[in-house]
Amino acid sequence: MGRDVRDITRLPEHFRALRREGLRFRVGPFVAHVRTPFSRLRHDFLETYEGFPLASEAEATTFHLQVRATSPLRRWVRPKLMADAGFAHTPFVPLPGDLGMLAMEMGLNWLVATSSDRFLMFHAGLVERDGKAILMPGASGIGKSTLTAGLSLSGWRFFTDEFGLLDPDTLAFHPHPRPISLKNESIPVLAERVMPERLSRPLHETPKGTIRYLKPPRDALERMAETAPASLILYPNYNPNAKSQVIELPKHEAFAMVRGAAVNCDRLGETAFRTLAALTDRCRSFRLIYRSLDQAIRMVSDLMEHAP
Amino acid sequence: MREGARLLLTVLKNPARQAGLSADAWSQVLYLARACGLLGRVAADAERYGLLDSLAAGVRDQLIGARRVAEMSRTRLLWEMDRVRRATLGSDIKIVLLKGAAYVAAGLPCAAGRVSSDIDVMVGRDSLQWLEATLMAAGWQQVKSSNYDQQYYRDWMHELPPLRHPERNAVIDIHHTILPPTSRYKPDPAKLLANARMIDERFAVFSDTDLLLHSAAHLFADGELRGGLRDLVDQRDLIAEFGRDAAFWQRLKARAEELGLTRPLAYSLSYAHDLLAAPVPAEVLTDARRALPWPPLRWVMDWCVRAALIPPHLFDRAAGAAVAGELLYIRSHWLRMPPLMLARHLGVKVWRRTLGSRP
Repeated sequence: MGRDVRDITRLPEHFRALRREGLRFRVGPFVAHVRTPFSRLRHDFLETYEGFPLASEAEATTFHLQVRATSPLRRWVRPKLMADAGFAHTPFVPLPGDLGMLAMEMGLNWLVATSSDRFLMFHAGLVERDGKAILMPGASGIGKSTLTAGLSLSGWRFFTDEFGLLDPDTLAFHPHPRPISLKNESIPVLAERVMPERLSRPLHETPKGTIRYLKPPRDALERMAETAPASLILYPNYNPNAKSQVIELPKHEAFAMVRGAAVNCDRLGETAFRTLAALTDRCRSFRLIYRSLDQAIRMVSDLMEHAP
Repeated sequence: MREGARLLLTVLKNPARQAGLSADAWSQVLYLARACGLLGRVAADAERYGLLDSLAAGVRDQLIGARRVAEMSRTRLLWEMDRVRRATLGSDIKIVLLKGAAYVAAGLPCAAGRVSSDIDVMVGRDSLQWLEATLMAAGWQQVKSSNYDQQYYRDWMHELPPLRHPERNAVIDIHHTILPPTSRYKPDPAKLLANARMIDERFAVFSDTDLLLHSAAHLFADGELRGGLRDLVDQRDLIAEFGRDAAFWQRLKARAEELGLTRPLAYSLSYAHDLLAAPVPAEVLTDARRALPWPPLRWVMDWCVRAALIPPHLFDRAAGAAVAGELLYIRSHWLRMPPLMLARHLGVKVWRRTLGSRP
């Protein structure tokens, strides 16, 4: 990318723009346009999204989102805010004024999950090394984000901790490098590995406990247009009391597992089925049980030899 | 009318104009098309005009996604028809497909890129119980659990409470007429059923005039019109398709009078013509417009429809659209039921909203 494309900064002009016309920035294949009047949120947002490339005038917006007060009164008195994408049926809930970043992130996640059917989408972490993409599906709370973040700090390129975007035509994954949402016990594990300014302030008493956002690494942002072919599928499972092991899944089981992680199968129909079959054909799948983050990183490193 | 809305109408009227849109224009068109449920349609148009490959990657991505979703919706509709056919084997009762299902089954142009969430069917009132019982025996289940809802549908609505098939998560609405029995307009369902045309041994679709009149009645006499542009696009396409037969217009006029739907038809022809360039002959339009309300009311309605048919963009100031939306919401209920009944119904809704309980 040429240097004429500017990035999000903490400068006053961006602080102001967030309240007025909003900021349009690029995240992988998408352009998000966000706006909010809340100054605490604008401050948090610029800090966490600093360095994201602003969209040029030649790019159309994919998602529009604002975080607004639930009523004019709640803008100022005991502030309450919620995400608003403008459509009739959105699942957004009111949150206390301090949790604007959570409203913003949940709003953007919902938009990605419901309106990017160009891709077969997986609820998964995703990293890349040597041009090989590793998909790590998993429900919330089993260590997916932690492992994704850990790998991103150990030589792998960060793609996403939430949405694996697979192009059905090329079987290549597209990066979607957003801030990594660290929850509860995973916060200290990663806090000791990064400079403090890479972490957002903690958001306490969210519906998911305490959350801190980890900024995506610099190279993840600079190379967000570089895709990588699907190569390996891992199912991480952090369990400090179990014996660490790697178990390969037979193809039929691998298909069922990865089908379970695909978010928009019901909307893609036959395209989804064919893509899942091709993905399972191409990639070997392993279950990964580990007792510590460092151990998991070594195990993933060893498994790279199985990636085509 | 706002710029975004005008742009969306432009590409719906003339899909070739997609080629010249700027990125900023696309941002608005894509947002509004999605909000109106027309993204699949815009994608189908792009494909039909061979424009998909010439569009910017970000725009093309959204349209390709929308096209896949529309294809899946169509597959799902066809499969639900198949399942209903199977569940009702052995009877000789005619089931009329409505709206999206009818357009797909009849192979009409407005089926292109159209996404339907439910399947809508209609049978004679005397076959209602049979069809509901037959589907439930085949695995469909009630969606509305509260007694008030169940009773409300059965007493006052033009359809039964929706049924859902738990395995496929597909909803079917079984109608016995096209408007609530309490509505100001009372088209005779027996007449609609009598003219419906069989398309196979089980299913039928309304005749050409009735397809248009149903869509018009649905949009202008039943719904709140908010975001209702998709229905108007259906109507424009039906007009363009059936209007090629010169005899259609005479039949349409006679049928609208017979069914008591001249005013909804007047709105439909006017707005499909004014906003979407539907090919309505001038004398037909002039004649139909005689059924519109007296001028001051007509002007208010006109302002409301234009403001509400396409929702405002998220980042627009939209006080006008909100007022129009509220007025149309009140109007829709006013047309739907007599005042006392309306008071009772809204009372229950307010009660629920404030106390969170279900009477």
